[in-house]
Amino acid sequence: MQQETVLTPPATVTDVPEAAHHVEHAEAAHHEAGTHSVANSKLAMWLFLASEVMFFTVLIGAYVIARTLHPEEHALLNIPLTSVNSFILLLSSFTVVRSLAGIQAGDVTKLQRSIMMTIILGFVFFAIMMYEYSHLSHEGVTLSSGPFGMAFYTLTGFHGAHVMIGLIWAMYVFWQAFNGRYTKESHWGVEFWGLYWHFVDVVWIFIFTVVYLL
Amino acid sequence: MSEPKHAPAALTAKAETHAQAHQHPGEGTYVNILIILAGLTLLEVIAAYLPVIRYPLLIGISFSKAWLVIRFYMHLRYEKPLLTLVFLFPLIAATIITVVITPLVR
Repeated sequence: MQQETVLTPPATVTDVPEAAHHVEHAEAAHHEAGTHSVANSKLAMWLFLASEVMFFTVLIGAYVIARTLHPEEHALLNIPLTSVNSFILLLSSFTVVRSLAGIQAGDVTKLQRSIMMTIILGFVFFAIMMYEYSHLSHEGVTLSSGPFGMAFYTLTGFHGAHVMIGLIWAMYVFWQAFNGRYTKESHWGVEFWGLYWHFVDVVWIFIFTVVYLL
Repeated sequence: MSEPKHAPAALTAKAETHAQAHQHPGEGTYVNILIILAGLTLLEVIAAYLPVIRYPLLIGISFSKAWLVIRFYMHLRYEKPLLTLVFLFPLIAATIITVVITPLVR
């Protein structure tokens, strides 16, 4: 038994290059598998966003019909206030992309601050939207007041719900960032949340034009 | 034995290509995009009060704004063309649907 133990080291030494190769190969395979996994998840995320495009198109189409049949209620919409709200949402898109740039550079503080700014801007956007709803309901435009109200509240309400989901997601991402879960090398959680938030911004760009300006 | 020696080198090259593909612009570009987006939003609000020309102008501006966000903030410019196709297809379909139904209502 002792002899066997003594003979083992030289055998292991000759195996070192092969063993190192196996470890290297396994690490490379693991890295490649991880890359594919993220790539597949990213494709899935874009497919989800593509389906959301169709969802919002239906709602925008319904609004266009209601607006064409009842053009008079459009005059009640507050364009200056909504323009400010549009800028707030665009600014939040900038803070989101800044948070991603932060973690890509390994700057966790920048990531946390930018997410916090996004959360604040998101809540301001939501508060202004609620103020607008309150103003419109006082003017008699409600969900059940007619086709215009129904189409308007359904479209902007679903968008608002998406903003709220984005805010909840942002708070989760912030919590994860606070606990040091994101690194320069691994931060797909931030990237996917960012994609969702930017998409919500893109939808608002079209809502702002079609609902308020046209 | 030659294959294992080449494999890590090939993977390194692949990883480098992958990293290059995901090279994102700096913060300066993001700030510039934000300024352009803000400027376009202001132009849009002004255009809303213009007669006749406002329809093509507003639609053009909103598509430009959306495209800037998608290309630069969502980094589609730096992704594989497949993702652009995945997103463009419903966007084009959605535009056609909206354009077709609008005159039907009138």
